[in-house]
Amino acid sequence: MSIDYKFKQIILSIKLFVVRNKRRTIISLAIFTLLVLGAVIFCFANSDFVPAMLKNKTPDTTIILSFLPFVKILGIAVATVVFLSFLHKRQERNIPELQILLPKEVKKQ
Amino acid sequence: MKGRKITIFRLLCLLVMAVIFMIAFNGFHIAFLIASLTSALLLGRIWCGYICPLGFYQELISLLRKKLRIPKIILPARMKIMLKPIRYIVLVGFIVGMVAIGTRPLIYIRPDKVFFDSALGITSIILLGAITGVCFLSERFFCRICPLGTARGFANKTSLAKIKKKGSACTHCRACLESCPMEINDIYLEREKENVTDSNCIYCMKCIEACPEKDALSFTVCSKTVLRSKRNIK
Repeated sequence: MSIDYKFKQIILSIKLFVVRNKRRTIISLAIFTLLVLGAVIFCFANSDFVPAMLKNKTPDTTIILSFLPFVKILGIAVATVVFLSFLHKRQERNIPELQILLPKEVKKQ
Repeated sequence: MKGRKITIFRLLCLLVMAVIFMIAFNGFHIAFLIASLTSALLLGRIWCGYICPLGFYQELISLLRKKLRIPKIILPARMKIMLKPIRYIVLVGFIVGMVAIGTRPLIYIRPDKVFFDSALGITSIILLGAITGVCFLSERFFCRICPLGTARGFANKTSLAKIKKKGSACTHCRACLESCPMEINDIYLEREKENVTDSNCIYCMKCIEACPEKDALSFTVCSKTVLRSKRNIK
């Protein structure tokens, strides 16, 4: 299959999707635009470092450092999710009604 | 898409309000606290569902979980009973902290600023990380112990906004129970009373959206019906 043919196929499938789901496409595009706008405003509203960054007053390390607490929070959040998921899985295994659904181990002869 | 109109509207409201807060507020203002609590007298916990930036943060985390197709953890009944006194303890602690120590919880207005604060202590980092993790697995978990939400919840039963149920139209399909982010049982369990507004209800309207029976659930403001469940034929 040539690249040209593949490319045309992709464009046609997108066109077909837009024609079939006109309303859905308009709404999702509107939401996407709003989200992008929100993100841009968010960046500029965060006046703590963005304008300074634009003026080249802040050294690069300050920008990296400002992200450090968020990275730490994310790390702890991921650890919590893993821990809670593990606990939940273990708890599910202990429910006698659900144990029936688990496959039985084959005894080695 | 038709059934999710209110959710999209609510998320847009939360996004717009978060942006407004970012532009307008740089620190904690008592005026914000007063406005949020007085709004509760009129419309209950509607602030939590449509305005609160911290609520928006939790909604974003939930959306991410749904996109990753990770199933949510439904809290066991025992834990729900345990959470009830905890939220009152947190509320008392919050009031004491505000009055006696003079703490100003910026996280309610600018969660973004708190998360990127380089002066954040290790205790705060652990607490925020743990809450984020729990909120990822259990929808709107923080709202269940939130001191401001608890304070607004007192006004939920007497507010002008109400969730009403028509017992004769309900078929007890559990759609309302399974869609509720706050895991409120009363809307599903209640069979006689018309007013089913719980003190935890944030008026997200997910129950009304999910309800497959016509007029079984409705949202009223000053006894005027604003939204009602429609028959879902799929």
